[in-house]
Amino acid sequence: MLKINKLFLIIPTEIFFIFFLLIIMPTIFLKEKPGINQISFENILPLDINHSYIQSFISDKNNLNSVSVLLKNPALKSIDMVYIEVQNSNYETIKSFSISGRGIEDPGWINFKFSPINSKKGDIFYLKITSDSPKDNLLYIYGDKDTNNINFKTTFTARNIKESFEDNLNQQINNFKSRNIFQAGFYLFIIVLINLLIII
Amino acid sequence: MPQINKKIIFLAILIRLLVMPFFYHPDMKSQHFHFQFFSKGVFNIYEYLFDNKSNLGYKDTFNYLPLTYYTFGLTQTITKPLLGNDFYLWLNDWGETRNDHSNIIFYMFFLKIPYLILDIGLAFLLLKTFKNSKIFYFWLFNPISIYLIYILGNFDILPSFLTLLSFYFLKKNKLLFSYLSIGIAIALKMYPIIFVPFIFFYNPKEILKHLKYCWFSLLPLIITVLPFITQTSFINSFLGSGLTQKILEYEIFNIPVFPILYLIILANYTFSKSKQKFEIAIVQTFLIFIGLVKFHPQWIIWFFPFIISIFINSKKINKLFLISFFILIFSYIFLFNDNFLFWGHLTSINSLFIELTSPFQLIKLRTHLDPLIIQKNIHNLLLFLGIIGSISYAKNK
Repeated sequence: MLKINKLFLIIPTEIFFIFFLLIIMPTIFLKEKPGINQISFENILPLDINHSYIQSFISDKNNLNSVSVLLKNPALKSIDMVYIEVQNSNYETIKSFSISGRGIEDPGWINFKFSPINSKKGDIFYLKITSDSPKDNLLYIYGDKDTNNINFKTTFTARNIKESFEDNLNQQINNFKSRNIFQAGFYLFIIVLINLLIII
Repeated sequence: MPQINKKIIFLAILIRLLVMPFFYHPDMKSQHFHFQFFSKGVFNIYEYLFDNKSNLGYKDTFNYLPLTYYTFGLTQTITKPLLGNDFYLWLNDWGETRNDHSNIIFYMFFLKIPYLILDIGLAFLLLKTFKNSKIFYFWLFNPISIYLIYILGNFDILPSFLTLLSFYFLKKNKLLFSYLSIGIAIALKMYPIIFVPFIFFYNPKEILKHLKYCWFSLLPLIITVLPFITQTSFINSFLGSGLTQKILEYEIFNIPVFPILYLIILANYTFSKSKQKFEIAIVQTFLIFIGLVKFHPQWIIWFFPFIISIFINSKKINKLFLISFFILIFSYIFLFNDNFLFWGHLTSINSLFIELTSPFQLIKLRTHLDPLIIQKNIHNLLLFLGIIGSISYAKNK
């Protein structure tokens, strides 16, 4: 019978270790995934009774479960209300949320988390931001003054382990593709070399 | 020297290579943020940071000694071709995506290579010093040193290596090299100064010889600090490190306790005739240090090579005591309100790990208990056990 060198067992052990760290651990513990990240606008736009904003976006993953917007309450003076609504493609409000100026920093991300919407990748949503502030110099939102696009972030959540596993696998594959080939090659070369030194 | 199986050494290296890229701590980024200026020709990092504070993404001062800056600035410069240009984009990104670059795993790998060399070197130094292969293998395969060196990723392995080297020379009666080694360690980080009195009183019969050479323990520090000593930027930066305050913090009747207990250990050490008196005194110092000082986990590596030498030669009951002591230490560490000491270590795999609930938050959210009080009680228990353990080691000498 062919005798297998016991040291060969280290290869499946290593593969399992890396698979456990990169895929299994995030699958078990990371249910929420980042979605759209539009954070580059540095202008502040007034947010008051006469200035409201509607930002459209196409979801890039299933099951939207949070939106965040970047607001500014200069010197934390305003106690006026800000209303955030998530609307579907028919402009029907499916989630809504309000926050008093007391909860808005100078500046700060306002995170609106909700039970996951049964949505699919490619669905269109609208994010509507309004305020009852009577003056245009009390509350601001970060955005582009020409297009009225605003800074916002979304997250999505996996509904079950299978979905979470697929998400993580895809994410790691995408990460691997975007990594430096020289560095990846160097690392793999060292690992293979040390394995050979152990086995042979 | 005992025979060593080469394959086992390669296996130890393989384990480290598998751990190195995937674990992260933000201190590594902030330290290397400062080290990058060495390759740009900055030799006075304290003044440079003070003058350019408003233009830099990371505003904190450099709280280490000049030799640390030169040593790791140089190693970063040597590793530069492997790190690539994207490394500097990541190093200078202190915005939303600061922990979210896909190549972080490789930066962690390359930046930890000097630690790997020192770690394996330290294993061989332990073998040469104690001539016991069990100590060598224990160093290579215990999870604590892997955690301290590769997960926390701090450079304290270098002064630790030099401290052990100093002890190796001390045992060989090469006092000049012993004091010089500890001197270089002190010039890198101040803590090894607490080991100097143990070197000085190692052999009280040769006190005059020690008196002749002990000055070399301060020479590297004096040489490297002298050009900066009058500069406010250096003084302010260095005073920010706070180890001295932490050592003196625990007081009874306004008298700091650590120095008193330290002097008792030193007196006991000086008159001890045990062959292991140096290692025992370091373990005793460690036991009271942990109980009396609000320590950072990375500081455990200062004492760890000596703890291992005592652990291996201990009776079962003493081994159980040290294992329990370390379990308590890790319970204390995981209760810090700092997720980078728990889930945050996995940030290089996925930056969302930092958003997960830390043990501190979990206790706060799910129970009526205050995690700070639990942590304080654990620290008190560590102090109690530390004093008992220290007395027990003194009796068993």
